[in-house]
Amino acid sequence: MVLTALTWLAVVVLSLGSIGVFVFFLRDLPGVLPNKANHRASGDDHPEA
Amino acid sequence: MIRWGAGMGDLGAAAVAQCAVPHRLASVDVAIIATYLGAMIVVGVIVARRLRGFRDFFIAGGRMTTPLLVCTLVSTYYGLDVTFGTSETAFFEGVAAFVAYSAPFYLFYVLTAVLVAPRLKRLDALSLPEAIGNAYGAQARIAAALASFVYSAPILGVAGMGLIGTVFFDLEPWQGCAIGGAVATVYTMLGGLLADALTDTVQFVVMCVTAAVAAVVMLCTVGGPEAIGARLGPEVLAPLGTLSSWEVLVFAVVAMTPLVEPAFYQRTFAAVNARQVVKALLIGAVLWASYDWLVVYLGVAGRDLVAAGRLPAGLDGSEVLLHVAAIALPPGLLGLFVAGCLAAAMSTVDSYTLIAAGNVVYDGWQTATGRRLSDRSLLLATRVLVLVTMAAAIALALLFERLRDAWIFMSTVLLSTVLWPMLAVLFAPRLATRRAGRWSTTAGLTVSVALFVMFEVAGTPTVDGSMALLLPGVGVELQRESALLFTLPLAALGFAAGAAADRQRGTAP
Repeated sequence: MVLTALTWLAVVVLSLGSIGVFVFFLRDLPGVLPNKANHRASGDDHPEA
Repeated sequence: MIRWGAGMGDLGAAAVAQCAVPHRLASVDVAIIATYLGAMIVVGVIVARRLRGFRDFFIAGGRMTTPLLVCTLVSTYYGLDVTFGTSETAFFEGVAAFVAYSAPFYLFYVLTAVLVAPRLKRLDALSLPEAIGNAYGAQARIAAALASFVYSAPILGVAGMGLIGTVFFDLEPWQGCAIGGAVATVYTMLGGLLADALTDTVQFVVMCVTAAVAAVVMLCTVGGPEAIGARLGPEVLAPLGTLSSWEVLVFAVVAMTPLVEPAFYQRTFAAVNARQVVKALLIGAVLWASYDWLVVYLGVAGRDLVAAGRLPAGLDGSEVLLHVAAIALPPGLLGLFVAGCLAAAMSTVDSYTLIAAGNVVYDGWQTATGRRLSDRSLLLATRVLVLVTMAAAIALALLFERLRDAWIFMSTVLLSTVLWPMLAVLFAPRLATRRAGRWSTTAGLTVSVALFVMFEVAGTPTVDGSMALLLPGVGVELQRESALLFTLPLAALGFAAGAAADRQRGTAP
């Protein structure tokens, strides 16, 4: 029954893992979004092109 | 990343026309799908109002942390081609689909996490072609941009959306392609990588949870793999199934793509630091393996349902996952599952469309003309190219009868062109001379494209639907799937010859 146990384990890892990662993402979200207050189309701020 | 399964051979227009409607969607299912599509566009609009320039648009301002990287890497790499392809391979080959086909990828995910990501993050670049160009010059950068564009054009994902439209909504293939492609285009044009990554987080959760729920229902209905094996025979549980050692070798070589994957490179450059990428890749590998295993299990369960007469005997393998889900999931969850399938397709389509557009504007146009575009022009041109790339992908998706052929072509071109030069940049910079990179990228790109043209013009069909070519002077018959085993050594030879030439001329670093 090893493969059956592995299948149940995959169910647990995938469901809890994905939800857990999403919760941590929500925690990080404010730092990921660019600051709206600083919004403006800059003229030439990419490092190298 | 894109991987192929046998199922992708059947995602063309002809096969789509044969699909039976497995399940009529309830109103609640349609409402869930419509809400999902609307939410994706809202995310694009919100992000667009906060973007400050090309760097924000193309690499999300370099602010991506581990959770966001996990979501976007897993959902981007896991497209519909893999979902339907893996379940179909499992339908025919049993658990060998996991052992021989999926498992080699995990080895390279881990190698990429541990060895490639930290070195990559130290490079001063925003894309794979730029990293190549910085080491080898403009010609190598253009060759890498062309190869990356060929690999990234989202043909397979767009075709997958056409399949979903046909199976669940009775739409023509082009209509499904156009609707799904239009939604992905709108939010990618508006918000770039950040909108792409934020929508990926929702798509990631939806696809993972619906796969897990479908597996639980099947475990309770038909039992685990051992119970299915007892009914269908031990070959279902054989680690290598009926695959030949030659096929296993080809799978193992193709599994090297994570080492030079454009989407992975873009996300590495977009990360806050290397540690975040390493953690994301290692966590992602565990989630990929879990998702792969459940999709394989659902494919095997589908075969059991066919044997039990609960699914039609002539079932097309590429549809097995859709049929199993239609049986396993109640209204509401089925809508979520279809949204999950759309999510798997869209998360791949949006990411690769953005990369392909960036390859043309940021790497190709600027390098070829020698003109540096202003940030505003770069942003505008990339957005326009997102639209153009998507339109081209929809046209190509409807053109190809066998999309597996398209995938083989795309991955062969990418690996042949950039694998050796990029590995040298990362692991042996002393060998990374200008001629070595130039000769290897040029030889890899030219020979792989020429070879596939020859397969179309002078190849002979094989019994398994592939094409074979007799190599003149060598007397060896080359199958299209094995072209990589010919082009990779040739590109390595080009690299070695270029390095030797530079050493002889005293131009090596």
